[in-house]
Amino acid sequence: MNIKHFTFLSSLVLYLITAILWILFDPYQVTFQFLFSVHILEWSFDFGIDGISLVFLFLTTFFMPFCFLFSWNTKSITINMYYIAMLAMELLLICIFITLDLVIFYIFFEAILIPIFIMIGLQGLRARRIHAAYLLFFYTLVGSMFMLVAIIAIYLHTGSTSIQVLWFSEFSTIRSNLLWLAFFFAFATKVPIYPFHIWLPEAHVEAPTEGSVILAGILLKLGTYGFLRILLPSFIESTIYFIPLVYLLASIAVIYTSLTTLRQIDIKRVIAYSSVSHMNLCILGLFSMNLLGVTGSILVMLGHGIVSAGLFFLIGMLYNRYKTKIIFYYSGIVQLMPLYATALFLLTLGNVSMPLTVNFTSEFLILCSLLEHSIYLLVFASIGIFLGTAYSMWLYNRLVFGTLKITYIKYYKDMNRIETYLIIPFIIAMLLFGIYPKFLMDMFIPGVLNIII
Amino acid sequence: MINFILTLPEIYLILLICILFFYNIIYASSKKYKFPLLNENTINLILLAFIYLICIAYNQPIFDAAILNSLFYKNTFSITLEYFLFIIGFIFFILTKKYTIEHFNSYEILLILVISFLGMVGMITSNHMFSMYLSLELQSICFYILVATRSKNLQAIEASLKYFILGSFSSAILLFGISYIYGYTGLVYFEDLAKFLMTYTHIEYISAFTLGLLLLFIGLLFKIYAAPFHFWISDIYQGASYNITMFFAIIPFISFFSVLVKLVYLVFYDYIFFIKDILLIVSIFSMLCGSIGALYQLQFKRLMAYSSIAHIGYFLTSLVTLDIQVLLYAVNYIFLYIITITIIFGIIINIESKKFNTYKFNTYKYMNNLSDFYLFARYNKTLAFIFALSLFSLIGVPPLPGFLAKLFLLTALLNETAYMLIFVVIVASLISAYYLLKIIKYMYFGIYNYNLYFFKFIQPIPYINVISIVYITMLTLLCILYPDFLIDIASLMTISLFI
Repeated sequence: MNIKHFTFLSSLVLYLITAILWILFDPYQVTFQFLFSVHILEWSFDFGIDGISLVFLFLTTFFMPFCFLFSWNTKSITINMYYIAMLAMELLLICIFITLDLVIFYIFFEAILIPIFIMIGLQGLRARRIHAAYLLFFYTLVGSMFMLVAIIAIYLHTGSTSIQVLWFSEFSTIRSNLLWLAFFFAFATKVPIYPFHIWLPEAHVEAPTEGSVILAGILLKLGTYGFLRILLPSFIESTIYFIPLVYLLASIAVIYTSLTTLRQIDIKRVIAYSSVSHMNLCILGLFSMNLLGVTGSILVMLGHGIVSAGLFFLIGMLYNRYKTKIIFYYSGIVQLMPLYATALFLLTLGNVSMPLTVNFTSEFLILCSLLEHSIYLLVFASIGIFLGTAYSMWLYNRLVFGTLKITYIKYYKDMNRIETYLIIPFIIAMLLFGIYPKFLMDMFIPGVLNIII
Repeated sequence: MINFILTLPEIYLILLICILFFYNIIYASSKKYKFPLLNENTINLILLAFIYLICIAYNQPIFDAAILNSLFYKNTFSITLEYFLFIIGFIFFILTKKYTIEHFNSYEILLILVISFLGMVGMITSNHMFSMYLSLELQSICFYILVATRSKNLQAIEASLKYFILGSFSSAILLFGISYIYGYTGLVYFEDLAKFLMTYTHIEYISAFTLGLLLLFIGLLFKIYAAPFHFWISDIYQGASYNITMFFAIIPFISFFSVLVKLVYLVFYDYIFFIKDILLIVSIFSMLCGSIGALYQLQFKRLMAYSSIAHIGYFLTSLVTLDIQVLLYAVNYIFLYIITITIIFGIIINIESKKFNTYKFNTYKYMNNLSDFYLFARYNKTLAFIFALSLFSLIGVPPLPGFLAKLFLLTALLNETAYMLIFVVIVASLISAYYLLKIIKYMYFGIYNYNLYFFKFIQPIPYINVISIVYITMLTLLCILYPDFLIDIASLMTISLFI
């Protein structure tokens, strides 16, 4: 049993534990469940989960075994460090999703930078990757510094760093607005909302496939999870005060990033920009502050996590074979890679939010909730979704159809068994949550009600 | 009798110096034994003596007492700092043993190092302007000589001359300030000054006293190379040999720290607001100059010099805010910072490689340039990992002790509503993240190039050094789980200052 087996097995065990938690979880109980606290002398830190954190826990533990499987046959000097970094990342993410304490939240929110920095930096030989790793590190570090100051200010104000205490504490208007801005800045760089999104495409392009999967699948959700857990329930007046700003930024982002996507030449960049667009749609739903919108945005997080992770795996398979991610070199691969083309087609349908996929359900809910606020917002969001269809179909068309470019790539090889089995769960999950999302919604809607009201 | 009991560590140190002198002079110059090299023996003796010294310092009776005609004063603050000083000195001698034996044939450097410890102990316990000044001079003179030990190197000669001239210059300023204060108040004992300034409230802002205060503090800030007075330190770091650089980076910090804290919080507490603005500017300048200056450095030693300037800026915030809680957390900060720097230098000093040369095979190469760190992670995974952890800790990334220190410091500053300082601290620490990450980048993400060529002949590292580095790292990491340990010590120290 070497490090590879150990890390893979532990990720499987963690998935099993999450499944058991889901069974034992009582969805009709509004408060936090499975509470326990860790005492470090005079301080005690609470941990516990509700429906929302269970969704994210499920997402995290669902991806991780596939990430280990994907690089199962890779041979590299640094592969052990790689596995350890991934397992560390999983544990840190689980800690973030179960904590009910601001300091612990901040600590793990920042600590996750170390493994992702090392993961991006270790891969490949391009000099650009260091630039990407730096961008990732600094954007998050700058954002979370403000969060640190805000957390200390909250501690000095309320005398506690518990999130539950924060929910019921009151601040003066100016202080509340400042704290809101500090938290917003930290989470907005992580989501990322429009002016702070530059790091994401860079990081995606340079990261290894597993890194991209974790980044798109879970790390981007940290920002929205922060919004859900801290920002919306604690500073309701400030949130209402700042809603126009958020709507402006997010609706700019939805259209702008979709248009940017149309002129990318790198497949990973396309998916990266599309995930910025999707996450901003999720922000639109989140700040509508009603049940439909928040439910829809949680479903967007789930659906986008599943779909973009699957797409990144597929791109990784192409890259492992031909060592390029430039669209120009690929054409007509349907003729020699039918399985691959089918899987890519299904996940692309997920990306354009076709009915029957989870993305459709969620985006439909978000559009419904936006109707309550403003018709213009609805128009912007719809344009963004339409453009999403445009670039996804354009990308699929370029890659899969057309004539084979045998001048560039001589040997084609379809997905092997491990890769096929790796992609099937993503497709099943996408369709399952799309056709029957009720059992998932039952789980987190009490938690959402807890936040909104 | 009480003088004897309370000065046991100092007496032991003096005896140690005498015995080492006799031993070396008599044995090394004996024709009968063919003039033996006594480096290794001497350093072993020093290590043994330091173990006893730590035991003595630990078992000192803790009560406040003035000793030797009130020239020195012992309380929990000074005793704890002494204890810490001896422990760090012990670690320093262990980690640099191999380097010293290989690079120096003379025993004098070791003796001078021990003598400078005597000066530092004097500074920590001083209770009188002259005992403070004389101990400082004893320490400084040792330092001037230590820089010049690499006597065939042009840089070292330049550095030692620079250090000597600037050091004596700043000592003169310090003495000038002391004399002004003496001229105005007629007092030189710390306690007398404190009592006088507490009761006498008619000192005007424009007076000889303010000038004296200003000169005194400028002299001290010159010595700890705070920002507007920092131009010489990077040359000193570069010119000195590696073990001396390590010594400068970790040990004098403690003594200067104790003197500054005592002067600000004990002696001039009621009148420090005269020069508060200047201290504030110095603090902000240090943070910004240190972190921005380090961005352009290509040599590791110079980078560490600028980094330490930035950290002195963080420490000086405690002198500006004049708050007990800030001081407490600054003490905590100093402890963690010194231990982290010890780990960093302890790793660097033990990595050497034989440079392949057709004429001479045994020319050694150390990590001088930042580019020498290329792919260090491939050669020694454990040490590279610890090194990276220490650097992340200096940046202040959360699960590491550096974060703890920064968190407490920010909490205390926010409690004082010193928003400008908080902003500068954040900006400086963000900038410093850049250059520290640069080293990690070289270590982990390097691509094969010619630098590898040198490190093919990397030398084995002594087992004891690796073990001690790993243990120190584990201990500092334990501080995360048990942060009250350090805070309790720091609070005992700070409280003892005010009783």
